[in-house]
Amino acid sequence: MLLLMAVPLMAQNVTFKAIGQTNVAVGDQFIVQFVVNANGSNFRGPDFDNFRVLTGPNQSTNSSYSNINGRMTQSMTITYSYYLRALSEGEFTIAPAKIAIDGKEYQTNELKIIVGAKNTQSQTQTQNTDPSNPQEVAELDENAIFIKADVDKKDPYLGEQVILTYKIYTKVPISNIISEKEPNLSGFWMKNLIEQGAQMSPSNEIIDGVEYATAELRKFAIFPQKSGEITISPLELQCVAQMRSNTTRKRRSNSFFDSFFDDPFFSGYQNVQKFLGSNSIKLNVKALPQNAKPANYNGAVGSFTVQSEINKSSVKTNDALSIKYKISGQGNIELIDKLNVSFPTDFEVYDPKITDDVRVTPRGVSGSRTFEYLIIPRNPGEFNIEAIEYSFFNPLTEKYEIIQTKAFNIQVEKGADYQAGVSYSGISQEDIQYIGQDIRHIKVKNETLQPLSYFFYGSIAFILWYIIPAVLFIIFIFFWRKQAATLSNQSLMRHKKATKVARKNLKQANQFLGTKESEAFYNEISQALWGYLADKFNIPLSELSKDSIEDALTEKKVKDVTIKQFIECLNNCDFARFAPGDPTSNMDKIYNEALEIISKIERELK
Amino acid sequence: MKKSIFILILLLGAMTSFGSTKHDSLLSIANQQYDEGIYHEAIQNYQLIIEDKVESSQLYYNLGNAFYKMDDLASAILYYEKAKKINPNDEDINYNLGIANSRIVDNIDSVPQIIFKRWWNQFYNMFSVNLWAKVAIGLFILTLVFAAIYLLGRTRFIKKLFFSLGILFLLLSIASYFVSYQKYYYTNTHKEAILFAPTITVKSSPNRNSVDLFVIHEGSKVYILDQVGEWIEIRIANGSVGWLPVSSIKYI
Repeated sequence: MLLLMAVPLMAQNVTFKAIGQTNVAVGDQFIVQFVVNANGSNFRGPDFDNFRVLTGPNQSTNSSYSNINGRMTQSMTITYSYYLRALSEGEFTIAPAKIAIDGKEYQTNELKIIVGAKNTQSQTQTQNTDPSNPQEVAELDENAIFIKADVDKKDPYLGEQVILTYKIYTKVPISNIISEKEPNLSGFWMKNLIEQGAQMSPSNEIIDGVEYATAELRKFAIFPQKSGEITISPLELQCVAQMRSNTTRKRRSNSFFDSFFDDPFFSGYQNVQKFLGSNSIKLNVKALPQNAKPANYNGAVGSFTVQSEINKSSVKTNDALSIKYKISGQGNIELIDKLNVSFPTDFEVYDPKITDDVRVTPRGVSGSRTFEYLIIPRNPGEFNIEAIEYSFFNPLTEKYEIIQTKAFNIQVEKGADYQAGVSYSGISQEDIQYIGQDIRHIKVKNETLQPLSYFFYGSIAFILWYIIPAVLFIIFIFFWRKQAATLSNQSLMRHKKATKVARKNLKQANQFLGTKESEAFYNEISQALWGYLADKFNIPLSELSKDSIEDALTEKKVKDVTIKQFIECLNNCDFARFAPGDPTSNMDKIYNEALEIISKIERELK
Repeated sequence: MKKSIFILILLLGAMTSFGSTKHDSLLSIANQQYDEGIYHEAIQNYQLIIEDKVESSQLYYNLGNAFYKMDDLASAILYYEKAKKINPNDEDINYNLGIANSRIVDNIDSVPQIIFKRWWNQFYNMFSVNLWAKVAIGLFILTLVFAAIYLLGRTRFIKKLFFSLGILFLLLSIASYFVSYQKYYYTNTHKEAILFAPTITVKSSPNRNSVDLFVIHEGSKVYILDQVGEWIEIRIANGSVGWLPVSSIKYI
């Protein structure tokens, strides 16, 4: 089997031919075929410059096997056919088509086609005419039938509504209007203003003194979607025009129009096929002005109003509310895709229900679009739904206009089923939702102003802040030291003089001992003992007591015995002084005791 | 003696503060205008204060905010950077600078720094030059106080404690002094600037006909490396270096 498949490829002579009628008439439909007998790829047909391609290329394959004398052959033909229509008289050449077979490129022959004068169909008194098969040429005035395309404005703004009308003008009755080619409306958003299949409403119009019957064939509201120059290609159609035979031509100008779209079953009529093309339309679409364009502008052009409505302003939690925004007016209303409504974040908001009420009239598109938002407040409180602004460009005033709705205030009370924190989504707590971002506010607390690019570092003040405390420190230390020195000198002097003073006191006491003046004697002894210790240990007189003396002596590591003896001596002195009886009797003993203890302490302190 | 010390302290105080009631009232008016949303007048008043050759981080910050509200991002960034120079660790300044920087055209990735360098920078930027200088002085005075206590202390424990404290504070004071010095030196030798030309091509040499290296946009921060006539050599945060005309930038 594999072998069988391979054989025909080897044994084949490739032929690639163009076949077609060589004589056609203007308006005729005919076929051009390119036939190849092998399986090729990358077929490229020629450009049919002077013809209209009705369909094509249509590919058809035909293959057959034959067994002759035990030898298998396969023949295969692939046909690419084009259905063409001749447009104008003359002699034309159809360029070769190309195809690649086994990596090799093949070309067809060129095809010469002579297009003759127009054929006219003349099947009088017959209705079953085949328009594509004309038979006889009849006279038909070039201006008898034509289509005129018209727009209500040539230089609209981007998105502005333009009414595009195709009108047929005729002086003869016509029928069987078949569309050949619809206008190319890419670059426009389009709304058909005449419903397909609607009854045409003919009327009469006089152009250059000639009366025509007219009817609107097509009517569109178009909205340019890009700026710049846009060309709308012509509407092309064919129709059958009914002409009276030559004998009746005189009457044509009289009351011909009454028979527009009449039954063609009339005596003396000729059915003539006619191809009609409208003029093409050039629109110069202006871009919308950039200056003063509102920030929230989203492309609406026309003239609109907005209404807003809320069904209740105080609800309980989890009760639904509905807010309606209705935008109505003239323009591309169906292109309004969304509104920027900012609902409080605590609200559950569903996508809006959009209902359109668009009226298509021969004068254009108008109507309204309603956005109905269903919202459910989940938490109690007072909420504001801010007014929304909707901006549009008004081509009449050539300005942007801003329309505004009302702001709503909604009171939400706690409903019976409200539970704080239990949210509908099943999450126990909600994250904070950040709605916007902005810089932080200015600082209101005034700071001290400094001179421009003032550096404290390296300034005189900076150096002074080092020097002055250092100087103060040195002065302080110096004075403190000096003070301490004088203080310690004083105590040293006292210390040194202690024995001397004590001796002096004792000497005085000795004198009083001789004169038996007991009062003065005891005074001197007491003075000697107390004063000695006070001087010796630098104890202020106010702090002088037996306890403090004992402490001071213990600190200086004087023996306990000595301390006791000293205290005893003091006691004895006091006792002898104030005891009843003769105070003079013990004076000798106490003098000796005092003398002894002072010299003893003196010795121990060294 | 005591009187002269008092006068000296007063003098020192006077040298560090330059308060003026005129500036304060102007600042209050400007702040009020900012609150009311009259940003262009607030800007004029803030700039009137600056014309008197005085500054504060608050003034720069508020002026930056006003420029931001007027959508002049380059000026806003310039004044935020100026405020940051005086008060490097202020949260509000850094936040607003971040927001302004996120809105400019160029998003220049900065060269990543090693962690110790980052730590150092954080420490270094804790205070401004002047604050570091003040810290150094404060520590120095504390050192003196401790030294006095050490010298006059009677017990061994007190002497030991205040000797070590004194040494510690002396070292800290010296360290702060050097940080302050370093910052002072850096700010006087390393200039930074903000680009004010909407779009500018950075050249390979200080010459109009030299090779185009890259394009930067308004609001980007550049580090000035050198200046030759009307041209400056700049480096951007990602390390790229090139030349720009000096008229296209404003110094921070």
